[in-house]
Order: sequence, then structure tokens, then C-alpha cells
Amino acid sequence: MATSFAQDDLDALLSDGGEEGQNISSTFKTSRIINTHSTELVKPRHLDFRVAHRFGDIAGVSGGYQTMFGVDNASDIGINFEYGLMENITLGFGRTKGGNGLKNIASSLLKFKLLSQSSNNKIPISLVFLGHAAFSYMASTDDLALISSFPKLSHRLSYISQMLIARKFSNSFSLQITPSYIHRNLVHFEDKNSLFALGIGGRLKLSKRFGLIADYVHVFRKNVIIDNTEYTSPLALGIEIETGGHVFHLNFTNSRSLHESQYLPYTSSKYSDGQYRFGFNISRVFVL
Amino acid sequence: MVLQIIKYILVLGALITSLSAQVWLADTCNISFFSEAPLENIEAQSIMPKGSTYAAFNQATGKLNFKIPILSFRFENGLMEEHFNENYMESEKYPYATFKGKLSHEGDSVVAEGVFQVHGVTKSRKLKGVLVKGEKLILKGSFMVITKEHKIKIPKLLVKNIAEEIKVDIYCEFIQKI
Repeated sequence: MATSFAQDDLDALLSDGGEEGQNISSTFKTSRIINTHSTELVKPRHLDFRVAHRFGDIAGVSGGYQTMFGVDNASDIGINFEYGLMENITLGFGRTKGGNGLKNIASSLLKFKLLSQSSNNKIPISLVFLGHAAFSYMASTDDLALISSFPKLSHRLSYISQMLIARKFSNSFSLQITPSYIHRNLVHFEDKNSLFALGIGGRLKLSKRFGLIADYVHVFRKNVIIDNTEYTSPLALGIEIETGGHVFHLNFTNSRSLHESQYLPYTSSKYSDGQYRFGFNISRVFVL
Repeated sequence: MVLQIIKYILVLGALITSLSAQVWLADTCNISFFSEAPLENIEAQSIMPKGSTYAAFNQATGKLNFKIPILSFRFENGLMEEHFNENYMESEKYPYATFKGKLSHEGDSVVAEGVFQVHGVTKSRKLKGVLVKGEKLILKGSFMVITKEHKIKIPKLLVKNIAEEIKVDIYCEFIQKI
């Protein structure tokens, strides 16, 4: 045994990257799939500046050529900042116009990476906890039947907890499922304050810098029709283009809103009624 | 008879310990590389995690082996890390950079002569470094890797972003393996 060390067996002493294997990086290119967050965090001391738009209905009653197929309308506009505090913690804040439900949303988020998928499959998935808080700063209305009446200040708040569970199956294919829980402090009397939702999303890279992306979140609710509005679930399809510094998402979705506190409980626009829209997400990361 | 057996065991024991004591394993390793190009400088670092070993050295024979996982390199920028692994190094296909060689003294410094493999391409290299002996062995060195020699393709569009010669820095502390 002793003599074997003198030969080429030095290699046998070297590890294959340790018991834990190597962390798989770049499950997704950026912190969103389309509407939902992805398991990607911002690197420490880096700032992700994000701009997103959702335009008006392409077809249907409010679409067509007279709104240039929706691009003359902006149903939601979002500006977000996400900062990498540590390797496994990202903090974010932002504001969105609010496409339905409440308007004028100021939001904050905390992303915490619990597990990283490893190259030797000892850890087969990446697991991220994501918590959001959203505050609507819109003017309150006098009609107490509306959720924007805000009898108390706390009625402006809603919270979302999500577990992001993703696996990078290969360099080109990644899939994520996203169990979500949302609590709104004030809802319509036919509605429930707390709802569960389950998201699924993925990416298929067609080339090094180009890929297809899609996500869907199913919202579980007893009353689908509330106050004469029929609610549905948001589905988004799009393409991802990376230019080296920026990541662009060009997408189509029935969701009018950008923030989870809005698109999870309040999506009522339907593909079958032509109520789908063009939208984009742009991400640019800066070193601070 | 009994004395003879005891003597034999003692000699054998001494032989085993003296031989195995010649083998040193890295317990700290910090491998980094640096690309200097007109438009941007790119840096990445691989810090050896506890419980793994990047390098082994046999003092008796002078043999020195390195095995570094490509996926372990961390970049400042996440997109760069993705490009490094998926576009340039193809780390799924070629997961390690290795060196197998022999260390010899040359004046104040040491020279490691052997084969260096990265991106599946093997090159004979003679690498210079410094070896400091104490309770631990400390090995320091730096060398250049020419991307073309290892068939690492850099698009013409990016020659101003990525250097054709990458500087690799190695710092390892070895402890005796017993």
C-alpha cells in the first residue's frame, strides 16, 4: 500500500470535487422565468435593475388596429431593483403601476437560497424561499364595497410566500415548480383572504443566447366568479434573448399585472376573448 | 524467534510510515485566473471546499498531481459564469483541469514538468513555482494558458473582451497524509 503511493496512484487520492459535488449554476439566465420568479439570485454586491411592461389586449373588444394591437395601452409598468446581499440572500424593492385589483404597488422581496443543485446529483434540485410584501399607495375610494376603500392602513398590504423548486436537466432545459401562498388583508366578501397557487415554468435554450420560456400559475379558489368577474390563471409564453450584459424577455400573456400580489388573485383576462398582450422584461446587472 | 518477529514488525512499520509520510495532500487551495483584454478584465476563482483535495504531492518521487473541477470557478457576473461553463469550457463534457508531473528544484524555485490538460486537450508544460517547506508545504505558481492551444474557441466578436492568453495563479498548502 505504501509503495503504491510512489506510483501513479496519486490520482486516487484526488477527489472528484468533494462529497458535495459542484454547485450547478445558471439554471436560468435571470431572476424571472416570465411572470414568476426563478431560482436565480443576484450575485453578492451586484444590483439587478429590471424594467418590465405589459401592454394592452392584442385582440378582443379593446384590442385590434385602433390600439395598434395593444401597444398603445400600458396595462402595467414595473421598475424593480434587486440586490445581492450575500451568496444566498437577495433583497429587492420596486414599484408597479398595477394592472388589475389594486393600483400603485410598492413592493419588497427577500429571496433565500436553501439548496443548490449539485453536479453529482446528491442534491437534485435548487430550492429557494421567496417572500414578498406589497403595499398599495393608491387613493382610497369611498365605496366600501370596493377593496380600494381601505378602512385601515393595513388593508393596503398583501403578502406572498413561495417555494421555488428548480432542476437544470441539461444545459438547455430547466424546469421549475412554484408552490405559492398569498394573503391579502382586504378582499371582496365573496373572496378568500388566503389563496394557494401552484406554478410551473421552464426554459428551453435553442442556442447559447436564445431560448423559449413559458410559465403558468394555477390559482386554487372556491369561488371563480366574484362580483360578476370570472377569475382565471395566468399563462405566459415568450422568448429569451441575452446580449452579454442584458437579458430580454419578449412574451405574450393574459396577465395584465406584473406583481404576484396582483396577477395571482386578480387575473381575469382570457386568451379565448383575445385578452392576451405583448410584454417584455429587461434585466441589467451592475457591479456596486 | 519472538525477537525476530518484533524486529520485523518494527522495521515494516517504520518503512510504511516513512514511505507514506512522503505523500502530501492539499488542504487549502486557491486557484484563480485572470483575462486581461482591452474592453474588460475577467477574473474567476476556485476555492477548494473542505473535504476535497485538488492536489497531491509525493516528496520521495517528486510526483505532483492536480485535479480541479471546472464548475468550481466562481465569477463576479452570473452570465459570465454561464458562458464560461456552457460556451467555452464545456464543463459538462470536460469537467476537470488536470496536471500530472514531476517537481524538481532549480535554484530557489521549483519546476514542475508534465502534462497539463484542460478542455480535453493535453499539452506538455514546464511550469515554474515556489515551494516553501515548514510544517506545511506551500506551493505557489502562475502560468499562462493559451486558449487556442486547448481548442477553447473565442468568437471574433469577443476578442476585445476575452484575452487569448489567460493567466492562472495557484496557491496550495499541503499537509502530510498519515
